[in-house]
Amino acid sequence: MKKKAISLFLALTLVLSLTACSNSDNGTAEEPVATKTETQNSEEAEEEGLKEIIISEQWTIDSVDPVSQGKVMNQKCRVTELLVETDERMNLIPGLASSWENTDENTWIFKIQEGIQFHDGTALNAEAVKWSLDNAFEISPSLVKRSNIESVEATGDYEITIKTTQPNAELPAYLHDASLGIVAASTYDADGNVTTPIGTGPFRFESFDEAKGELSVVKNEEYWGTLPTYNRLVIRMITDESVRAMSVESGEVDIAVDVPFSEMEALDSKDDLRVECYDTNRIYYGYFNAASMFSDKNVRQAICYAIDRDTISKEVLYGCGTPASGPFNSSIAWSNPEIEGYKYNPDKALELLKEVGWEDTDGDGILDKDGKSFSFDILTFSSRPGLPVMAQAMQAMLSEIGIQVEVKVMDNNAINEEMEKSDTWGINLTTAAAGLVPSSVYFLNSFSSANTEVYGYSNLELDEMLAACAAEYDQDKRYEMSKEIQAYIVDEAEEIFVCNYGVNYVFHENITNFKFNVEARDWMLNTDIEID
Amino acid sequence: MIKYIGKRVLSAAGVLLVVSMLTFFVMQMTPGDTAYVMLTHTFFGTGDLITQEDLDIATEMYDLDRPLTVQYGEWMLGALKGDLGTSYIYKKPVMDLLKLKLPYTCILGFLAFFLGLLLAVPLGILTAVYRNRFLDQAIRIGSVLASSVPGFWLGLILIMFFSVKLKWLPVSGMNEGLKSIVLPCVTLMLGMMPVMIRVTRSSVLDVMGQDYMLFAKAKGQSLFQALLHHGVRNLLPPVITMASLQMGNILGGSVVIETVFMWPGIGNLLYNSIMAKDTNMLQGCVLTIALGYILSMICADILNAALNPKTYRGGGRMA
Repeated sequence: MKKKAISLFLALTLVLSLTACSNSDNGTAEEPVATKTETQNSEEAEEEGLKEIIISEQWTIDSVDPVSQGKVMNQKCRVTELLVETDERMNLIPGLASSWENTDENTWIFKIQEGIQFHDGTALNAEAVKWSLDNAFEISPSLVKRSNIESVEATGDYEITIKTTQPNAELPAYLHDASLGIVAASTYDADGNVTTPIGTGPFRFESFDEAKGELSVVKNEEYWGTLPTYNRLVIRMITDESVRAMSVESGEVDIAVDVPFSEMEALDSKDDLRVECYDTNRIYYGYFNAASMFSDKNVRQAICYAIDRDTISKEVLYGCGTPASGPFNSSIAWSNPEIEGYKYNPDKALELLKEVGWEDTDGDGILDKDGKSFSFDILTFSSRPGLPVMAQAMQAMLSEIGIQVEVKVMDNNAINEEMEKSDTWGINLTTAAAGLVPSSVYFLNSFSSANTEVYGYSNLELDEMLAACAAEYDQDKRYEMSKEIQAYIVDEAEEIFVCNYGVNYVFHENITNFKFNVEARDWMLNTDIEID
Repeated sequence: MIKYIGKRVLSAAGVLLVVSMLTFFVMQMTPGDTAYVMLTHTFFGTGDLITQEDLDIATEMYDLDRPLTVQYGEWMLGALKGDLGTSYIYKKPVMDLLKLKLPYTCILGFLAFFLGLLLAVPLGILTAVYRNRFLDQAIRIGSVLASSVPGFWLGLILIMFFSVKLKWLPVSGMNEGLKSIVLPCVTLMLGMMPVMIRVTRSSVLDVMGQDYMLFAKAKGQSLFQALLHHGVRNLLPPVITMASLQMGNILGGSVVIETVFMWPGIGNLLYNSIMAKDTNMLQGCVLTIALGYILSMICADILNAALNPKTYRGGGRMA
């Protein structure tokens, strides 16, 4: 009997050791990567009383390549800098390039600032800039296509000449692309893999824990501009938004970005936390389906009037995102402040609909015309959490004036296919970064016939206006033309602009003097933010 | 025995082949153009404007316009040589990424698995021995509750209580060593324990009703002595089989748990690769999980066979 017990025991230990073996193998492989940097970090922090900011965000950092992860290296980490920078209204201002001019339509000359060094001590000069740009264009050919760049040449120690294949009046704006952060060649090893991102920015790259997706940068003491007020920044990826909120609540991180809207008030009411909301340059908007009743301008405008944007902003977005009157956030330099947009007016909506024959003739509470009732689908996706709720709010508002709406929430990637095969879709509710390029026409171009074909539009008048604006080399004139186009687009109402896309930041009380930058794609910190 | 194991390994290879084919073609059937999805995960954000030109370039860069069968065939040839291809979003060999992240999943998974077993089996025996008494009822109610709560929600509640209110444990990540593993581990354990308790309980009850147990007691052995000497060997097989299935569930369940706790294992990798339609990466993750499943089943079979040689000899019940 004892034998049996022993054999059983042996069998059990066998499994245990089998699995434990694979476990310990892995264990040793993993240790040097993770634990080392961690203990170092915390020790340093304690010893020096480092002014360190830990921020948690939702986006995965896949790599530290300054091109494909440009917004991480340029905007979030401030490791790289751009030739052309922007001010708080997204006007172009000198960056690593002190000035620029175009000698003819296809030739641009950029003067590079002298006396700037990369983090590895090498000098920033024309050759280095040329190398960096060429490298970025090689990794991301679409950057070249978009900006029409033909070649970049060093035409002096501190001067580069950029040639374009076709005129691009806004070339400097296209150079303000986070992927075009200027890096030293030593960023890459011989095989073209990133070793350490070497830029010129106020922070230098410190470490990236690939397994954990945690990235840290430290202050660059030799920075050519104003030194940042804090010494170290740690970016911690926390995918789940509720967990992100709890991470700042527990004090593990100093700042959390994008917590659930519904939790903002509760977090703000805590003594040691502060929630701040800002409008980004991104916008919530929808495309109407021109191959439906929306081919009629009256109908489109009616829908625009029937949506109560204030209520959506307050109730759906919890104030995180203000009502939008046009395509651009009003803090952007070229946005047209005179556009009033469509103020909530259901009576006007009904009137407009009646003019073109939509009325409730059979008394079932739903508008109809020629025996067909007014019903359509709103297509949207959930990876931007405001969208599905916004669509439901629109559904409720439209049902009040007798329009029957079904909300279809699907995968973002499935929407294009749904639009092709469905004949009941009416609005494709989406969001876009209207200020992806600090250009007054880049985003507007997405409303040109070439790009709205999929929604069934073709508007030659608009195309002409867009082409003229894009070809204008004088910035002030271009902004004026852009403002006209914005007004025209809003009036035509081929798209419905709902709200600006808000972002929220939850700060621990030790963080003050945060200044929002409308240019930020996910988030950005000002280098003079205060930390106690 | 060797022959038996050889058979199992062969069938495992077949299973992996089918799994990889299913993964590949099902992934291709999901909506969205691969190039588009990929671009939204690298150079652009969700909803950013992506032009046809950008798409064409990406398609060309990754040869996405080849016929699917060719794409799969090439991947398969590589996989046979141990090369699982390159991840689109991470731009790194899939093998490297798996090597980097798998250890974390293993640590968490095995810890939860063994601690869970260590607790669940004795609890199961207790509930059987004290059948219908207070202890039994309490444990059973507890396990019904635990099994009806979804893992991610339980995770959030645990974080709220232990990390935010009590501040005993970190919210997420793995920056505080052992303390970091507690919550994800407990969440995973609570997911598997109810099943194990129930299986153990019914298995013990089954054994307790057998004639040989009555005989053992008649010889003067106490209930625990009888269970240890005669019962264990007979009550273990269903427990082992169920435990091996739980091992698979833990590997799969870690996808959710790892995302909630930001545990840096393949769960996160899998989640990202599905979102980004990163087929190569997905294949790597799915195959790893399938392999884990198969291995744990083989282990269970071997164990059961060792406990009861009848299973692999294919013989009937001996008189």
